[in-house]
Amino acid sequence: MHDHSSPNRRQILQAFSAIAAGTILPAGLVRPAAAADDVITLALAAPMTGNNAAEGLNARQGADMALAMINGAGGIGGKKLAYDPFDDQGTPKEAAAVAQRILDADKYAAVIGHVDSSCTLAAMPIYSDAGMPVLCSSSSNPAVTDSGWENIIRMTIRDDYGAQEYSAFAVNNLGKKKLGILFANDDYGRGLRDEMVKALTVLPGSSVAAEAGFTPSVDKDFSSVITDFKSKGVDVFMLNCGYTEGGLFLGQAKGLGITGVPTVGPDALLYDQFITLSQGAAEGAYILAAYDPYAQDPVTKTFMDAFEKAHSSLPSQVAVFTHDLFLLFKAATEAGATSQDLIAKIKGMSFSGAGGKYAWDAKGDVKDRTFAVVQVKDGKFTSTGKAVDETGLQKLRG
Amino acid sequence: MDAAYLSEQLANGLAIGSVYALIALGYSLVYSILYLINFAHGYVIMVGAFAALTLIGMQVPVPAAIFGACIVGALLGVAVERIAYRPVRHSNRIVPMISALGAGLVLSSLAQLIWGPEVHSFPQFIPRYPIVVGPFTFSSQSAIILGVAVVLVFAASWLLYRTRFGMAAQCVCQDMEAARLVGIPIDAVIIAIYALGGFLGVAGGVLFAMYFNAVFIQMGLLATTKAWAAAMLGGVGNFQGAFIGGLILGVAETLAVILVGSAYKDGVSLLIIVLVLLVRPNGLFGSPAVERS
Repeated sequence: MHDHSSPNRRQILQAFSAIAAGTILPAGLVRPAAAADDVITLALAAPMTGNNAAEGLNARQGADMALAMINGAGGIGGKKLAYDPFDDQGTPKEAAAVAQRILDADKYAAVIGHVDSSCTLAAMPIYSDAGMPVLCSSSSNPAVTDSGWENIIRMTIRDDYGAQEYSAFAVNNLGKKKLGILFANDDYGRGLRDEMVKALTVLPGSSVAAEAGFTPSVDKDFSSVITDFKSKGVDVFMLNCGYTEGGLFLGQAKGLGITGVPTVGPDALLYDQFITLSQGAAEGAYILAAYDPYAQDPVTKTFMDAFEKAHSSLPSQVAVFTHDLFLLFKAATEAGATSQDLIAKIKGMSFSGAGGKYAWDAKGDVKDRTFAVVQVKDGKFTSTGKAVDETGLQKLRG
Repeated sequence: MDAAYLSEQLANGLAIGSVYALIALGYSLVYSILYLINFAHGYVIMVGAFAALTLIGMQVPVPAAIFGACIVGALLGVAVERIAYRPVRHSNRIVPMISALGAGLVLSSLAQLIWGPEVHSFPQFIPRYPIVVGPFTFSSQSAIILGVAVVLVFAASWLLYRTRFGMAAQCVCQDMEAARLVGIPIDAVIIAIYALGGFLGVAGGVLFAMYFNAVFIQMGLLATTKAWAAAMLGGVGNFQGAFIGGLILGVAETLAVILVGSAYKDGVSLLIIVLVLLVRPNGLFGSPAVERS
C-alpha cells in the first residue's frame, strides 16, 4: 500500500510547501524598509503565542489604538509611528533571543515591553549593554527597577508595594482577619504572596488562615482548595491570580454552595471574562487597579469607549499601559528626546494618558500613584472612589 | 480534620477523577486495538469543545450542537489517522507517537488562530445543584459526568467484545496481515476506531468544558497529560482500568492538597503513579499479555 500512496503523498507535500512558501515570502517582503526616514519604528515585545498569548493580543490592541490616534493626528513631527511585534512567548529564554534580534535589526527607536517580569528581567541586561531605551508596561517585579539599569521606566505599581496594599485593604477597609490566599506557584505569584504575608505582621489580629498555590495555565480545578479554605474559616478570598483562575475559582465556589465571601484581587482580574467565568459569583468582588478605568477624565473615557467599540470588551491593564507608552513616546520625542536620552527625559517629565497621570522616580518606578478600588456591581465593574487604608504599613516602608 | 471535610474532599476528588476517566477512555480505545498512544487525542477533544461552543453561539439547539461537535471530533480523528498515522503505521512505534504529538501541536495552533488565545466561558446547560448521597455532597454535574463515564466504559467493552465490528477490530489487533487475508477491511476498521475515539472524546470534552466552565487551548495538553497518567495507572488498553485510574488520580490529587498543599498536587499524584507502576508495571488492571509490541 505504501507504493500506491507515496506519489500522492509527495504531491501533497509539494502542494503544502508551495502554500508555505506563498505565505512566508510576501510576509518577508512587506516588512517595512529599515531606516526609512519618514517612519519611526518601535519594537513591541510581548507573548504573542503560548500560554500568555492573551497578553500579547491586548498589547497589540492597545498599541494599534495609540497608533491610529497618533498617526491620525499627523504622527510625530511629520513622521509616522509604527511598531513591529516580537514574540517572547512569555519565556525568559525566548525574551533574551528577542532582545538580541531587536538590537541586531538596528532600526528601533525604543522597546515597548516586555510584559512578564521574568521576560523583562532576562532581556534587560542585553538592552542595558546597548543603551536601548525600554518602556515597560506591566512587569511589576521589584528587581525590574532595583537592578541598577538606567534605561527603563515602567507604568505599573511594584509588586512589593502592591501586595502590601492588598492585605491592608482586606484588613483595614473590609475588617477581615482570616485571609485565604490563592497564588500562582511561580516567581511572580510567590513574590506577591510573601509580601502579603509580610504586611500581615504589621496589621494587628490578622493571619493567613489558609493558602494554596496553583500551576498557572494548567490548574483549572479549585474545588479541593475551596473546600480547604472553607473548613479553615477563611473570611476573605485573596485572589492573587489572573482573571481566568479568579473567575473559575469563584464560579466553582458557587457550585460548591459557598457564596458571599468578600474577595480582593489585583487588576489582572479587571477583565470581562472574570465576571463571565465566575457565573455571577464575582458580584461584590474588590479589585485594586493600578489605573482607574472609570475615571471621569476625558482621555480615559475616549480610550475606554473606543476600545469597547472596537473589541467589545474592556481593555486589560496591558492594553491600557501599552497604549499610554506609545503616547508617552510621542510626548517625550516632541519634547526633544532622542534615543540616547529618552529615559532620562521621561524621568523628568509628567504625563497624562488613558491610565491617569504618571510621573517617575530616579529608578524608573511610577511615583505618587495609588490603587483605584473597583468593585463588581450588577455584573459590571464600577469605580468605588475608595482609597486603601494604609494604617500600619508605614512600619514596613520606613 | 473532621469527617465532613474529608467526605467533601473525596467528592471533589471523584468529580475531577471522573473527568480524567472520561478522557482516558479515548486513549484506551485506540491503544487496545493499535497499541498506539494517540497523543493527538487531547487536542482533538479541545477543538471539539470549541466547535460545540461555536455551534451553541450560532443558536443551534444544545443537543444538536453537541452532536455536531462530536461529528467534528470523529472527522478530526479520521484526519489525524490519515495524515499522521497511516503513512507511518509500519515504522518503529516511536514514529507514530511523535507524528501524533505533531498533529496535536498543529491542532493547537490552528485553534488559537480561529478562536484566539483567551479562555472562553462555557454555557451551563446542566444546572448545578448539590446532590446529597449519605455523607457525600456531589454537584449535579459531577454526578452526570460520573454516570456518563460508567455508561461509556460498558458501551466500549460491549462494542469491542460483543459485536461483529469488535471481533474484526480484535483480529486487526492480533495480526494485521492475517486479518487482511481473511477479508477484514483493516483500513476501514482502523478509521472507524479513530472516528469513534474522536466522537466519544468530544462527548467527554464537552462535559469536561462544562465542569470547568471553560474552554481553552491548553485543555488539549491538560487532557493529554492527566488522562494519559490515569490510563497508565489503570492499565492502558483496559476500559475499567482507565475508569478506575481516572478516579484514583482525582482522589490522589485531592489528597495531596489536604496533606502537602495544592502547589505540590501534581508532584504527589505522579509520585503515587510511579509507586503503583513499580509494583504493577502494567497498571492496576493491565495484563502482561497486552504489552506486546
